[in-house]
Amino acid sequence: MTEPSPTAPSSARLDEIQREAENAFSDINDDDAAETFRIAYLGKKGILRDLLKGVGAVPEDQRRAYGARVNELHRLFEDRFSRAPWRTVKQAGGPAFDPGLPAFPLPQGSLHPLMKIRNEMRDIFLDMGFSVAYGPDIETDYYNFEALNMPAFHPARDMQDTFYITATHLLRTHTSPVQIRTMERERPPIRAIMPGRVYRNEEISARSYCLFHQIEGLYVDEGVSFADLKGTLLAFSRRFFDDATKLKIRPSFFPFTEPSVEIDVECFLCKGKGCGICKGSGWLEVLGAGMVHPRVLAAGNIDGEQYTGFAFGIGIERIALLKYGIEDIRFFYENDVRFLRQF
Amino acid sequence: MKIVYSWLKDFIDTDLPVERLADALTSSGLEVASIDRRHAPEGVVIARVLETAKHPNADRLSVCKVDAGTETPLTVVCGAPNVAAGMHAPLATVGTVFGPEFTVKKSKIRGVESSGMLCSEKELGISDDHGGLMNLPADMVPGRPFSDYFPPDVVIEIELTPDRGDCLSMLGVAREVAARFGLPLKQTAKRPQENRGDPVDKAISVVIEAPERCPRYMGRLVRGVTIKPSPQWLRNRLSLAGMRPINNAVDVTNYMLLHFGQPMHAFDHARLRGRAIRVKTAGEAQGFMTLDNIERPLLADDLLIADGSRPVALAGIMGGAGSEITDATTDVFLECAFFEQTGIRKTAKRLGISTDSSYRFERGVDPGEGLVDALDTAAAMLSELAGGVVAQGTIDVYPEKRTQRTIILHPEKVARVLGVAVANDRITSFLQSLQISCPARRDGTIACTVPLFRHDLAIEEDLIEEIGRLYGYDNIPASVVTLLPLNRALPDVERTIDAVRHALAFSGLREAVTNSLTSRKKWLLVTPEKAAVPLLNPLTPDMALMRTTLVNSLLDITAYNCNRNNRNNRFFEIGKVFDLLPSGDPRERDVVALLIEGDFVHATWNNSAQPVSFYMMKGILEAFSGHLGFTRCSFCGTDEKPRYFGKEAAAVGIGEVVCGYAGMIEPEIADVFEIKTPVCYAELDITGLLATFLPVRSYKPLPRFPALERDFCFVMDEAISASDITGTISSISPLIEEVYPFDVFRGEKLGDGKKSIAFNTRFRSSEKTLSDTDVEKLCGRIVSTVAKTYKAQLRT
Repeated sequence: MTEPSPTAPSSARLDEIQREAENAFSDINDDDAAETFRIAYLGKKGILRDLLKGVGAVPEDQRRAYGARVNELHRLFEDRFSRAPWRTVKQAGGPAFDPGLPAFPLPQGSLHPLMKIRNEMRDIFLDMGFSVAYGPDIETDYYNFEALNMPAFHPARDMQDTFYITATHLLRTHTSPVQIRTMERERPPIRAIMPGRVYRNEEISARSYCLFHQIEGLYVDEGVSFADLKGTLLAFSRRFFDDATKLKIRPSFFPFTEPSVEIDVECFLCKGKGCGICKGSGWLEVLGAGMVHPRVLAAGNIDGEQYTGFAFGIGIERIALLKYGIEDIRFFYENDVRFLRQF
Repeated sequence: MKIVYSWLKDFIDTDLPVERLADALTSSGLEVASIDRRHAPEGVVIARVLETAKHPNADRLSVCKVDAGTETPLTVVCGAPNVAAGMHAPLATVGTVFGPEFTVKKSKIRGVESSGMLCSEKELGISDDHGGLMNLPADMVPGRPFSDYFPPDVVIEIELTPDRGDCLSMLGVAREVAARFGLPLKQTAKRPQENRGDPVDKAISVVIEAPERCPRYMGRLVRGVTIKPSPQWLRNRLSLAGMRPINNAVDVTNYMLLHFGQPMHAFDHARLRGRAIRVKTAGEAQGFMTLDNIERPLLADDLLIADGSRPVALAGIMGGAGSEITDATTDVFLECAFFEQTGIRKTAKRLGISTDSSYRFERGVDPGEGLVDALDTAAAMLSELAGGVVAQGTIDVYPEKRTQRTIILHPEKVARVLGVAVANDRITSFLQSLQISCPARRDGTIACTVPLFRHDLAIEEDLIEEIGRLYGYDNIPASVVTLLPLNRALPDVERTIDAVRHALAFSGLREAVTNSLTSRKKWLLVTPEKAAVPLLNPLTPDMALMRTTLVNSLLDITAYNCNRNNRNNRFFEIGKVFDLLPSGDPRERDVVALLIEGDFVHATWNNSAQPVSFYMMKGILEAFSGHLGFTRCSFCGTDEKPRYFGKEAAAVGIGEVVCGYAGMIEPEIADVFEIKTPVCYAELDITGLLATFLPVRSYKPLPRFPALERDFCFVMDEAISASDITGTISSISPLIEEVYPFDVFRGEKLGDGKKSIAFNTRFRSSEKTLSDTDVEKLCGRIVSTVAKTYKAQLRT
């Protein structure tokens, strides 16, 4: 600490004091250091007080300028000190602690809504005793069509507009080829879901995209019946949507199941009364299903006389659109952060 | 397929409300897409326009005098461009109610009083045609209610699955309704009066040269017809079913297509050279002009109908330009055939033509009595409508008669598949309602003989489906499912992917899902060294091939967000990348990609911004590695990194199974995506990780003795990596617990190409408290080893 000077300091000395104070100020990083600074510069025995005391020693004609300079330093020190960020509530009469100021911006992550829905569904089927199986996105014509009872030039191929890689390779149009791959690999009882990305060569719009995601399900064993299919999907729907959910089943057609059905789930929003989500019908079309066609079992090297099985498919996008009330399927692939952060 | 309710009533007596009918169709598997009630409001009458004059006060309006059956003509103001004296058009008279908001009133339009409104088809709900007034035939009587000529009707549109070709007609749908409600099906086929002096086989000869492609070909000749428009009722029915009326001969064939589901073709007999029909394949590539005047390139295998010297029709798909019915036609040869499904489909698909005819042949028509009924009825109708005489006899070339399929049904299998016991008498009554004959057999099975029009019923399961849908799937009780898992609760791949996703989300990254298809341009920009998998039939050039990396996907969505002022993006995606192996086979790899852009931590009132850097990405990857349970996580400088990285990039290795690259994106690449802020990216191949298990965590007891620390500062060549030295020091003794580089310094004093790195080193023993002497000894070894290995000097 500077000793009180017997004579008045020069103007150069005042500049030096200001520099020293600035340096001392920038070294402060806690309340204790701040207090030391306050005592040294602003305290009763501090430098400023000494400078004021020294005014008498200043020649008359310089006294006014000297006083102004000292006052300037005083204001500067006070000002810097009062605005300092380390100042806390301890400073009586100082600025108050404000918990309303923004937080430290820790980066927040999120999981994609499609993957969240996928895993919600997956976990229900896992609990019901299903395992998970996978297959490639680039499939052969055999697995995607032939083995699923859709020979070349079968009109059912028109139901799925296909991207071809070569004459024999294509982008799978559904997750059903994984049924064949799973049956080739495993022996009954087989109980698996097969989630994955599928592709359709369709114009992109609010309703459809060139790819989407499905969860396929397969259960093959002795004595597996349509009643089991119904029971499984009812149990799934009740856990996923609402524990009083009802199902409505309509006959349909898929080449790889016989019988084939479409299953409507009672609208989870209006409980069947009819609303905007279900377009007033009270029902949501969400599932295609059926009993595995004997030719498909045969393609999987499974004896159709001994074993029966059921299969089903769910569109993940469709469920996510319904569940969150999203109006445009493209939002899922645009990945606008304002969209993603809502999930 | 549009079903006209009044037309359906030709086959079944029913007064079912339309909603119940629609529900029944949907629950039979014929999904109803829409119900369209077609009826003009009461008060609309037939009117004849007597004269028209320009409206005195409006350029686009006419003032018309019309005869609407009243004693004196009415004055009507009309805005339609096609209004003309002499035309017949519908008039909505004063008082006609079009809806709650619109009643036709007597009113002055621009100063001229108008007593009604002349209508377009759209205004009457007949069609979407709003181009002008509905032009009515001249034989309609002015003043008669419009509904006398256009009775109210309902059009039900159904979406048929490809297996139910038998339902592509009023008859087919009526059969379903009859089965559902136990109604009798009425016979609607007619037999023509024949001219005994004119045998058809003298007038034309038919040869099938490709019987496997055309199993049956039938024909009849109607002579002396007058080609003219069809009567109104027929025109109405065709219009309601969505077909445009053309002339009586063509309309009759179209009527048969809709009525019986049997496509037919009408030839001008006079234009069939050599009075012959040959059904043959093209034999060689050739062009053929179809009646829409488009030259179709045919292949040798395409099936043609030829006359004595040239092709006259693309069999089952479309007629040719040289033999179609014209106003001058007098003798009509009616073709009614069964073409094999796949052949028609191949040709139609290749040529990109889908006609009402090809659509039905592809799905299978009735090769039996259906053919006979359609042909006979068509001949009878044509002679009735066009005043012709039907030649004697029928051409019927049917080399190998089709027999009905018999399928043995085991009632216990019905129970096994459906999970509910259906009594035998119910099974037989369901099947009989579908015209399947099913006598019981001694062994308890049922021999089911299926009508020829049901091409979809081939095996026992098909019959079980018929039983199931008539029994009602909603009536089958759901079983109570109590399944024991066949395997562990969460399969390893799922467990690993969950861990990856959660690790990255915890680090503040947002999961993205992006398109696997990319453009040739972007592929060449980021990974020209990889052999990309191209699509044969891309939707757009932007999606011409499979992505080889996720970098362009994530840069795309980052740019998308930056353009929307969403700053400081942080994304990750788990996805597949694709390339071609040298063998030409496609290969798929699972990768995880991370991208951070702008500031990882943005500036706030009390903190400065932290822009993204390689070291931030390194921190994320180390946390990721730790979360998965790996202890090894390495970053090495490399020259062989992908070209989208700038100078600050490294090869990454995590455990033994994850590898890839991390680094700053080359600004020129970011520029192409119009991203102006710094971008850091990492892409790791996790294919190996998914094929194995996550590391098993092992527990180490916490230290019981205190640690000692020493700092070393070494001066070394720029080329030496801090991680090399930490590795070297760590391996000197198990007592060295951690080595952490805490400062890097470069300066004139050190000289060019030199740097100094300060290392904090922590020593600890698991057995005792280390003494200064213990540590000094180790310090000596550290200094000498580092000096020897790296020519690095201790800076004092």
